[in-house]
Amino acid sequence: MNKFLALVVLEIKSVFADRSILLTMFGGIIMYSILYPLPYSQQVSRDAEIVIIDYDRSSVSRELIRMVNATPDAHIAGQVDSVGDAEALIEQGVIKGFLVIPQHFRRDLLMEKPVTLSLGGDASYFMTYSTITSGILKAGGTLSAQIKVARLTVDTESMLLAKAQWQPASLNLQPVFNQVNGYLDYVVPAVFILILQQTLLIVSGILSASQNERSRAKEQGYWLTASPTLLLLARGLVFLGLYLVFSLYYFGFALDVYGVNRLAAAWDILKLLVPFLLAVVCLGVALGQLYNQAETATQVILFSSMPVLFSSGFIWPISEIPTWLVAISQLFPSTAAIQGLLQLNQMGAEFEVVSNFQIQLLIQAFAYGVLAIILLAYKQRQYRLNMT
Amino acid sequence: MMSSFIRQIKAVWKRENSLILASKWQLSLVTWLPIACMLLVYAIFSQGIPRDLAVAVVDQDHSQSSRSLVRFIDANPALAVTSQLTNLAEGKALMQRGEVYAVVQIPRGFEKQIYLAMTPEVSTFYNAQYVLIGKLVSSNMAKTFATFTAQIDAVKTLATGGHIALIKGAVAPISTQVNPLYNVSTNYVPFLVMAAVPALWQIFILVSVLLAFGSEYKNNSQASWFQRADGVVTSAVIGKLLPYTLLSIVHGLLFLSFFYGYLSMPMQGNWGYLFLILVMGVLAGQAVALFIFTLTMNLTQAISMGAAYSAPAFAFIGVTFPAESMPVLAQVWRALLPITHYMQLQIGQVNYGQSFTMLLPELLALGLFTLTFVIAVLRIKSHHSVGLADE
Repeated sequence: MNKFLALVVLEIKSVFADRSILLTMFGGIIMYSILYPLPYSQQVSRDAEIVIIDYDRSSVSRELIRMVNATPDAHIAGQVDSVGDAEALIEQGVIKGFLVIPQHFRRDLLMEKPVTLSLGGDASYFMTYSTITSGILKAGGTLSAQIKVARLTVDTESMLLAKAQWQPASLNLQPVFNQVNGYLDYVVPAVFILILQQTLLIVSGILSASQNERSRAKEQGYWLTASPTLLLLARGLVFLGLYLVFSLYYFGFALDVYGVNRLAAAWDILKLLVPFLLAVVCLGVALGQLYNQAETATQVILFSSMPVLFSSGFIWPISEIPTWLVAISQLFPSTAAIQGLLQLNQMGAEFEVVSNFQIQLLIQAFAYGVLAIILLAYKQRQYRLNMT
Repeated sequence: MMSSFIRQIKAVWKRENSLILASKWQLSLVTWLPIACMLLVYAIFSQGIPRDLAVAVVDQDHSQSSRSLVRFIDANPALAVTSQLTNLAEGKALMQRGEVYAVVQIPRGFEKQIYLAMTPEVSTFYNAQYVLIGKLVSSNMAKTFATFTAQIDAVKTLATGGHIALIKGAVAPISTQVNPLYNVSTNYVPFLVMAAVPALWQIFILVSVLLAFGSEYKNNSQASWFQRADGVVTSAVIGKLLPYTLLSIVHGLLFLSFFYGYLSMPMQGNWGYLFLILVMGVLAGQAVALFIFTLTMNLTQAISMGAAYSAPAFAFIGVTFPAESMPVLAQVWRALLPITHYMQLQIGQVNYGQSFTMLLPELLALGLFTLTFVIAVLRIKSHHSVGLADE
């Protein structure tokens, strides 16, 4: 036991003696917690700039323009004379879309002829495109309904009946779990899990790799003499302790500051978080044995971040990702942790629902633990052979 | 004077090439690794347009009309009815488990109310935690429902003896035709992948420079490096950067030709301009990388800083979330990333086919980044002369 405590102390000393580790851990964790949510702090995008091409210039077209402007989705920057002019404005980056009101708009409506509004949106920017589309469809739909009710009132002379008849059935589209369709609630909880994983993989990688560097320089360090199992346990304990504090900051303080949903009990979160952190530490120690240079750790993790995030299933549906890639992504602890924690904390699922993710993470922790011990033992033998 | 300058650069460049070839990791970093990562990102989104997103239905009416609505939903290529449930609670549980993205509830008496013109309400609960998928599901559901009601309406109007030519106008007085411009098929590959890949490319540009310069200081091999350049720091820096400049340009050309050549995604612009943009993007990225390096002159720390600088860049590009809706601080940070300006230029060229005068402002912005070269070279110079004085 004393040997183990001594190892823990040595590991703590190694961690705090390395400026790169401290920079990544404290600097990175805090900086990323500010930088990643920054673009989305207003949650939703509103008032996309559009222009109107009004070929009708009637009272009804003016009414439509007023209604479009009243939606929170689109803001009318002005009117132009042709589609060409509008496209030129899009290409200069001034506006994101335009609405064409056809000639004889009012006359055709009065004559009960169908009229078609035409909407052009810059689909280079999907988010804005869908905002504009939904705004104009809403405004057009409302005006359409008003006209239909007005007509039916003439026909049936009963306002009440007419109102009910304008549509055979209605659709109530209800967003759940993230009622405002907010981007912070969407991106932040998942990205926080990824940041915890990636920085932890980096710091444990730097620690192992710099010890490898020192071994090569013939330094007889404690990492070459300690039992691999005890070394893994000591390192795991140190990083687990540190990262539980960081997790508290991320899932407690930071999510609170950003006003992101937190539906799960702290205890339930811990039941997923601890196996997740253990799996990551073990993977980190195992990977660390493969690096010869301390800085390789940061690079490997940096390059893999985007593929790991994109394949974790919350941006792009898993059913649309090639099977072989889904299989690979299951090897990263973040995939199970993101899905499990989102279901638990953001969607309010019972713990039983996510217990399969807990099992997956525990299996990963065990498998990567065994791998780490094997690699640690292998490295120790290699350097001891080099010594003699 | 000029010839000695070129000779120095050539000597450093040769030394750098052999350094790259000597390190397996550095060689991977400038050859196959960026290509593999970019292909990986492409592979994830390669489906382009999501199909058959799982939807659960709670049909409490069991009528011809309700079954018809379910068929309508299933017929939408983006949606698939994967389960029929008896109550909403089951639907909520399936959604929490991530097995379905939406639950559609058709109320009891649905058909009867339609015939009595009582406008029954169909509720669709969609998972908005996954914003992108949620938006896809809800907009497709809205489209499907509109077609469904229009059909009922048309049948009813016909039945009441309406004039066939007037039916369309009566059913929906105003219809809206939506035209997605510059990405006609609303495919996610030109949208998401073409922003993610350059963001990844920038990370490789940065890291290869940081590693190349950092290794010299880590291994204390500056003397042999500067010696090749006859002690002229500017030549030493240029010669060292050159192999990476060329390789990063090649990577850029590879992804552009993969998307706009091999996959034949629409490209409205001029390849010459695109090449110019690419070169400017590489130079701007390298200049910033060198500047970051000179802040610490330490390899591991420089890479940590480079990671902090370039890893979140994708969020700031403004393709997923519009730049106009970002707070001022985010807009400032955004402007400080070369990739933002590169992306504006790439979209401008590929989608809009912008003329040279329209490219100019963003090209100048990229040009401004290269000014940091000067600062970086000055800092390396002063570091170098301090080192010489110490000897």
